[in-house]
Amino acid sequence: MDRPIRVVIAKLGLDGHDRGAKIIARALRDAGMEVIYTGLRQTPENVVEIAIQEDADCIGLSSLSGAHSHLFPKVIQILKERQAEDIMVFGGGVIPAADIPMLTEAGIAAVFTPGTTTEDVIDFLKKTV
Amino acid sequence: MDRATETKKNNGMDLATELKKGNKRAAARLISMIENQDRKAEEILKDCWSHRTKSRIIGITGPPGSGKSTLVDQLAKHLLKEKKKIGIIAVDPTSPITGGAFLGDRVRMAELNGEPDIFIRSMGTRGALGGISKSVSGAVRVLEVLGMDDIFIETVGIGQSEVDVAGIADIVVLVTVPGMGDDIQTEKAGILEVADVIVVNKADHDGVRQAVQHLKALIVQNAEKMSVEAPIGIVSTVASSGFGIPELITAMEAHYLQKADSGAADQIRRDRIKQELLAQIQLRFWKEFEEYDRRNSAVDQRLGAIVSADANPYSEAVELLKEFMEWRRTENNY
Repeated sequence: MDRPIRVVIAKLGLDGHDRGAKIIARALRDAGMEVIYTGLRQTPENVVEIAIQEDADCIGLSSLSGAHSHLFPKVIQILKERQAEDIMVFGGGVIPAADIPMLTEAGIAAVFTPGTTTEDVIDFLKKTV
Repeated sequence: MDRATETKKNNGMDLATELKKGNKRAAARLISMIENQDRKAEEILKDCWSHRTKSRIIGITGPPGSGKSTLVDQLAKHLLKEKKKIGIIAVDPTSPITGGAFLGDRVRMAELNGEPDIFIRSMGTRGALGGISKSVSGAVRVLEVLGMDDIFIETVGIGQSEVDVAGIADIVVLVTVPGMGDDIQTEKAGILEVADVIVVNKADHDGVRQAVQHLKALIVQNAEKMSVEAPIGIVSTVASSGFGIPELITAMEAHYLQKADSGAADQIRRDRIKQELLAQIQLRFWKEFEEYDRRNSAVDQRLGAIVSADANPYSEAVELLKEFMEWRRTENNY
């Protein structure tokens, strides 16, 4: 059955830079997806609750503040607690290469760093979801 | 995309049982199935039909940027204090070009996230033009089974004539703002005719007094010809600060009670269920006809003669229906 991919785009914690998140949200919209945009300053608990109520296929987390190492794995952990680990999580933003293995290990399906094209993200979602 | 993931996502849940228990994930899954026209959704809704609560269904409509989401956020916060369980269906436009949608109503409702008695669902219009999506009434049924006291339907930003929400909601709240035009605008047919409560939001801006005056004049004029059992309420608000929200809730409740007392509310419910029944019949009839046509190419066979003007579509339609009914009677198990 043909249906649009539903993706939640969220920013966690005190990080107030949402330009990247909005660009990704717009690109995914233009690729035919239904993008649920949460706005700033979400908690990991709330992001998981939103993804559940929206029946999202995946969650995209944007981080420019350096808090990714703590907050991204937290989302995975809560998804597991809620038995919703089938919702895939990907991330993007200013994330040092050295941190990526740890995030992958924690269950983040992909991490997109500066220089990624929106096409890369779209292709990844279309293949993975 | 195949739905091999479907089974996985249900996690072996029996959706009907879980929904009746108040499981939000089951509700979310079922709403998606309705949106995706999955036939299994119908079986589950059948099972749940008698388990619905008598929710109040409130439509919130108005032009883009008039403050609908912010008002819903404020209304929900107030109603939470009264220990109400609240469902919100927020509709935003689907692109007619790509099929994608940017669903952003949650941005104004961020403080409701994580509230256990709140369920919010964002929806794209997916091609519908009346201000909501075709799946909204199904989603309302799901939230009724989930046990919500109040269900808000926030339409897309509308213009003058997108009145579909009036066919679904018990009360329609029209949100407008000062400076939208003179009294000529209030003379026009359409959305103003279906509103039960009109909100002049952004009442801290210039022109609020004139806007209220124009609306009042309209209502006085209408009241002469309408049964005045449930007159339209006008409330000024500033949604961003919460000003006027208690008054809005009072106006909504007064209207709802007046409608309920006069029997109008029951009549609206009956009409709504009748519409749903008729829509089901239409859908089934059409599906059967499509099946008939698929097997017999009945339409294509007649098309040539109509195109060359040897036959006309009016008589051919009558003939087609006769043949279809005959096929239905003899060849089929329907």
